Amino acid sequence: MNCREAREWLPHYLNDELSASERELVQTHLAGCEGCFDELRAMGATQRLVRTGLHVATKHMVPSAQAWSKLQEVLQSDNKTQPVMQHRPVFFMRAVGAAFAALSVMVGAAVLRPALVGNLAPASEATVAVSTQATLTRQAAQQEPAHVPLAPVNPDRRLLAAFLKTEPNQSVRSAIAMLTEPDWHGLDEFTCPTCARMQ
Amino acid sequence: MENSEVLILIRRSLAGDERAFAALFHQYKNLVYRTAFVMLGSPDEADDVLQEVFLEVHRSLSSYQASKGAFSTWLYRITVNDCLSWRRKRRFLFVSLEECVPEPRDEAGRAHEGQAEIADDVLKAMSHLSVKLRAVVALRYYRDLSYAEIATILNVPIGTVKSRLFEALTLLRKHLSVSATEAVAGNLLPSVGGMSGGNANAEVHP
Repeated sequence: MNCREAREWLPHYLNDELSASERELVQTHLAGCEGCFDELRAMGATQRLVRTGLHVATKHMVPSAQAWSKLQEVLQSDNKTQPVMQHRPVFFMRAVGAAFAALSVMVGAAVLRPALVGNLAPASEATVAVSTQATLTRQAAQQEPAHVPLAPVNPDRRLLAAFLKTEPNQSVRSAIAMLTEPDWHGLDEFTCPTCARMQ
Repeated sequence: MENSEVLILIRRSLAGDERAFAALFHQYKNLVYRTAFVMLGSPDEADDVLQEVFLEVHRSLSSYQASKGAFSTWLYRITVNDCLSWRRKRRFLFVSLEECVPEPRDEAGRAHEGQAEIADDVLKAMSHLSVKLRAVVALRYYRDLSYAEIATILNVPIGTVKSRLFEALTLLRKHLSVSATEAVAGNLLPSVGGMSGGNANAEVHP
């Protein structure tokens, strides 16, 4: 065991979370390494400091005196709404995921299709709607079939509109509609609208 | 509280007994609130998390299975998950300990000045950690849970708990003031009740 390995194990040695054989290895190393032994003491001091600091910081902390009455109000309103529709953010996120997947397929199809049909007759604009950028991409692909550009392509809004009309799931429809908003910046800024209402 | 008493309260709550649910709330409110505070660094946000956690508990109490673990473990899992999603929305807000313990909420007077400085130091250092690292620190050094329990709560392998803990301690050491570390190394801090400190004083003979 070298010093780097030993030092990674020191917190777990101090926390008594190593197996007997691992413990033996650490002890053997510590017995012959002054530097790691000093490190052990420093690590132990840090652990005690953190443990003590956190307990002192929270020792006298109690929730707001109105915590229970506030919760009671929330529970009462929750009991009224729950039989109708229990809020499940995870379902909404799944719907967003499904919408993203559908959108990816459509955008992917718009990008890749020109390359796949590069040597065939161009598809009718009436049957397959593609964005202006995708059209340019297809023209480039016809000239140079080996090149498949991966530049972002605006999803075709007519295609999305048609999809929105046929999609029966309300959550998927609203998620798709949200994804096509001009100010959509990705899932990092996503806030579940139901959660937002609850705040 | 004995686990059997908790199970009775859970059963009565499920049957619609509001007083039983109130008893559960009052029994565990400090556990949830303080854990949330350690993870979020803000008493107001910890209050909000407390509300969300017990709303979730009320909704999904029927899904709790005593055979799969203690009620407190289940509660920690909900609390940590709530804090993790909370942190995605807001950055860590460090609040001085004096602000964290306003007079009306103070049950036993202000902490000793020296201890308060140490606590402030630790909270400031915690603010440099990601929420995932704060979770392992809170569960290990504040709640004294084993690695296996932490792995269950966070739903990660034990190896991940170990690596996160090592990373967290390395960062904490970097951000903790030298004077605070020396105070602890010199045993200047009084002991704090309820801290079973594992093997912190393990004997080694180099």
